[in-house]
Amino acid sequence: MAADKEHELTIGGARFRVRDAGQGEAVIWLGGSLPPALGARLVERGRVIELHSSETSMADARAIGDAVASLGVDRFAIIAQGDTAPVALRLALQMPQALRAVAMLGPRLIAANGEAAAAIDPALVAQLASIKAPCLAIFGTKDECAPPEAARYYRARIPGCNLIFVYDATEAMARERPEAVAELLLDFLDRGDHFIVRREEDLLYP
Amino acid sequence: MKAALFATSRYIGQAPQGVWPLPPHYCDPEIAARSMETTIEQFRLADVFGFDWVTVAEHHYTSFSMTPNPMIFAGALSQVVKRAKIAVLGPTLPVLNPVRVAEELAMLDAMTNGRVIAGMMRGTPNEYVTYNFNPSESRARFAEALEIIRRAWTEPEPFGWQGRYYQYRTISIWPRPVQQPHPPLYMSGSSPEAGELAARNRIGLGFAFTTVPAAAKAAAYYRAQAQEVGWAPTPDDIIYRVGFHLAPTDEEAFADMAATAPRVSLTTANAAINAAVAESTYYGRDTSQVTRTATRDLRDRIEQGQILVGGPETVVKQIARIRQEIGAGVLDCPLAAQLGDKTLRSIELFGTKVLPRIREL
Repeated sequence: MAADKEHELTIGGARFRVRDAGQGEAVIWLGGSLPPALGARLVERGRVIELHSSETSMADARAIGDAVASLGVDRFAIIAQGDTAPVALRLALQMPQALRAVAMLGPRLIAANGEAAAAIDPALVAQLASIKAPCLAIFGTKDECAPPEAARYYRARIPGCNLIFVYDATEAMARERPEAVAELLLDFLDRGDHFIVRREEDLLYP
Repeated sequence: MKAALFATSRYIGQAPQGVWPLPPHYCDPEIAARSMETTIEQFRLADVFGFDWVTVAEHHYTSFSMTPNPMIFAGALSQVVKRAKIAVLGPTLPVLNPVRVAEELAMLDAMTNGRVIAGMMRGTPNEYVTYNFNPSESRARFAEALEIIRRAWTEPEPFGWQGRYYQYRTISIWPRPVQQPHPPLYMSGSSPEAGELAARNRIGLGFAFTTVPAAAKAAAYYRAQAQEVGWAPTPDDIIYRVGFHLAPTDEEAFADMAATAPRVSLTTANAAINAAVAESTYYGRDTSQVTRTATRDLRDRIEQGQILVGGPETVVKQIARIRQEIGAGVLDCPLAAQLGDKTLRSIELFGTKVLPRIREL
């Protein structure tokens, strides 16, 4: 993503590198560099803030919430890729009034057997039923880091969680199939749970 | 070895052969209705005489096979065929809605208490013309649709799909299949691509209207590909489709066949459409398939393993060669001729005189 502004931010001892682009409704991106093709589509829709930090800071949901607030954003959606999904879900639990929606790309919170994945606090998994924000869990059908077999448990544990498989994609789905992922994310960010109802028309010749 | 009766609901009245699409004005609806009854009776007999499966398939715009929706026919058979498995070989995946296919096969599995065999077909080239699909996309559509269907049968929670050719926001089918995790799956194709896809997906593979040497080569390739991904197909994973006509003696069987018009395959029925499809890269690397189904002399077809003709003793020998050279465990046997009572007798002879002898092959 081509950033309008790029700077560093320190909140309560946690240091973040911030890349900020676009205007309007804010979306926070967690999980490494936002692939340019996907970033360009998201910026067309509104403001996109990439937050980069060390693993330690990225585990601190409160620090991330404070960082976002310091950027003048009081309500936002979050897109968490890979192992940043736990912090996004913690934010959804801790700041329900601020979080509009949570989208996760290849989340690694729950193992293929339905239990908390290694290094994940089982208490967090147990709390997922309390999440109120619209949720979308996206899995690549060839993802070996976030096995598609685990996908069902997100749907089962998070009330109303939407589950989508991106065909023929690995954990790098945002780079491999940016058009497919962008279309999905934009529709979900715009309409939340209502995105299950198709809007596109099939009329061939008016 | 197992055997299936494959009856195509062929129109029993007069209609031109070698024409596709066949104009509807040739169809007498009353004869069409009788044709359906005839086919159902043939399947009922196959069940009585011990065939392991009965097979229905999808084809369009032709008198050769009046089952554009094999699911409907399979639904009717579920109430008539009480013992044999009902093999839907199958829906032409690239031109259908895969969620609908998953739903209908699961429904059939419930209606038969777990007797459905699910064959997924890429279709004959003309079928893409039927529903206006680009043949060059058929392989990719097929592979994606197959994955959707398998997931629709096995995922316990509603899910969506963001594919290349298919998009769904929520899939949550009812009923689930009786056979868990899902009915036995097969696909067809003699090409290397088909062998690779079947092996990768750990599903069975069928060879239709080909030759024994070609199928033997393709079966060996499929086994080798399966071994590479860590599994070994059993004989039951390989289906060989071969037409049959039996009579009490070889002489009678050959005389019966001599009285029938040579079959013209759907693929070769319309040279212009076939040529257009070939231009679209439909055939991939398997260009020899274009000519493989061409009409041949009856003796040559028997020699090539394209048809079984003779008395029971002769047909058992013909089948033994197929078993030995291809390693197929399931014979899918279309009726080589529609000759009224002689066809019914052929079904009975196969069931009573041939089937018991090929069990141990």
